[in-house]
Amino acid sequence: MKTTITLQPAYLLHYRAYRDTSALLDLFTPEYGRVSVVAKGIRREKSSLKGVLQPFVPLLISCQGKGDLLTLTHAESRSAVWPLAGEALFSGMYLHEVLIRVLKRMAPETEIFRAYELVLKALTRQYTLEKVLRLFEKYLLHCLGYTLPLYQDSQTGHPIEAEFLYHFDPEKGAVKVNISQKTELPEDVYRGASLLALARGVLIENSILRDAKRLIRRALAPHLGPRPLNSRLLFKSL
Amino acid sequence: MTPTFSPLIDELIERLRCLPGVGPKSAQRMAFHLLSRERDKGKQLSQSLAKSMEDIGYCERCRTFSENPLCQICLQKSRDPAVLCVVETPADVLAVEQGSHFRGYYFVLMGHLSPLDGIGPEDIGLDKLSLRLAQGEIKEMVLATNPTVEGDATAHYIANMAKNHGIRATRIAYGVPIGGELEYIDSNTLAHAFNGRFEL
Ligand SMILES: [Zn+2]
Repeated sequence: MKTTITLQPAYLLHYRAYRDTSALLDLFTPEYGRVSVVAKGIRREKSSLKGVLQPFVPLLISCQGKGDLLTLTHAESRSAVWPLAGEALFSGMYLHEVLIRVLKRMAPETEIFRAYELVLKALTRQYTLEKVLRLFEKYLLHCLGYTLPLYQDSQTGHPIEAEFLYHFDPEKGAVKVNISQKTELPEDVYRGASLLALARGVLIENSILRDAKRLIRRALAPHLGPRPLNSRLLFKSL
Repeated sequence: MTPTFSPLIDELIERLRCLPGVGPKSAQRMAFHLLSRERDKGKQLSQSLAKSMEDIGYCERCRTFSENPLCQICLQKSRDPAVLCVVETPADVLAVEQGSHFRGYYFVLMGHLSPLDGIGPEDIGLDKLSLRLAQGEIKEMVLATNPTVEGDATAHYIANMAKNHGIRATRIAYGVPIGGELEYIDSNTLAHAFNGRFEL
């Protein structure tokens, strides 16, 4: 089956040198999801695409070919690169590692694409990185068909209450538990306040951010495969 | 590639193709050139190649290529031990040497951080760099990694290490095109870049 993609918005997720002067690129597009292309001659000294085909540059690309690996026929930047620096840069790399693991080839992901672009924008501002990442991950799960059931006690149907503790399973939802709030909470038990904050997207306090990270990490794990995320290890050692 | 009249020549042609930019046609031209006109030089080439591949390892101090425990640059006593320039490749060392008045020592990463390719801090010798920073002799670092996303991330990571050791770190920035590689930048641009470096 021949595929022709014409002037599709895209971002570069991963770049790998290929042969003497070419490169294999993993691109993220709204209508085709993850697209793998070979960019011929891009590593030549005089290649004008070298500066364009970089991560975090909003691109327009055209490519064509058969099967999983297409040939890049055109690339230009839509606007200036999102200027990520320092820890925001590492956050961006983390996002790419997550996206490479969850995005399917040639499957439209317009919502995720739009959210990804908003995250890049947010990462260039003075927002809390952790907050931006958690909200993106929550939305990513939703787009993948695994909306976090954060709104009610899944056994009783009662609304979640801030002062109670809940056992939370990413698929089955929250169930109220009666254990002391004073001891350290088990891995899958969260404060109601944290569940409510995550549901509303209001992640301000550090303790809530920590809970949100713990919860989303567990929820995302089955979609990322068994290998640990390298950028997560890197973040930790930063 | 169609075989020639000699399996040995076929093999030579095939081997030459491991060189960058050498396709079957130019490999064939090289093989015939050496055989018909440059036998002696060809022999010297093969000896030099064999010796290099066998003997050249990495400098214990800066990690660049060296057949001795310490490379020629690390052995130079006249350099300033308080300044360390961090680059991605041995070719970058030469680029900085030729294109700037830098007179400190080097540390060669032999790559850059790239989580998606599984390349972490220890793969680029940062454990070793950390030990060197702890010795206290280095007061300033020039981070001359490539102006790419991975190069920037690597520089940021090393700048953090420097901060933890109370060492000043600057990043070359001026005039280096995005996505460029230091090796390919002309000397003038690079000299300029070194003058315009800024604090991280
Ligand atoms: Zn050395």
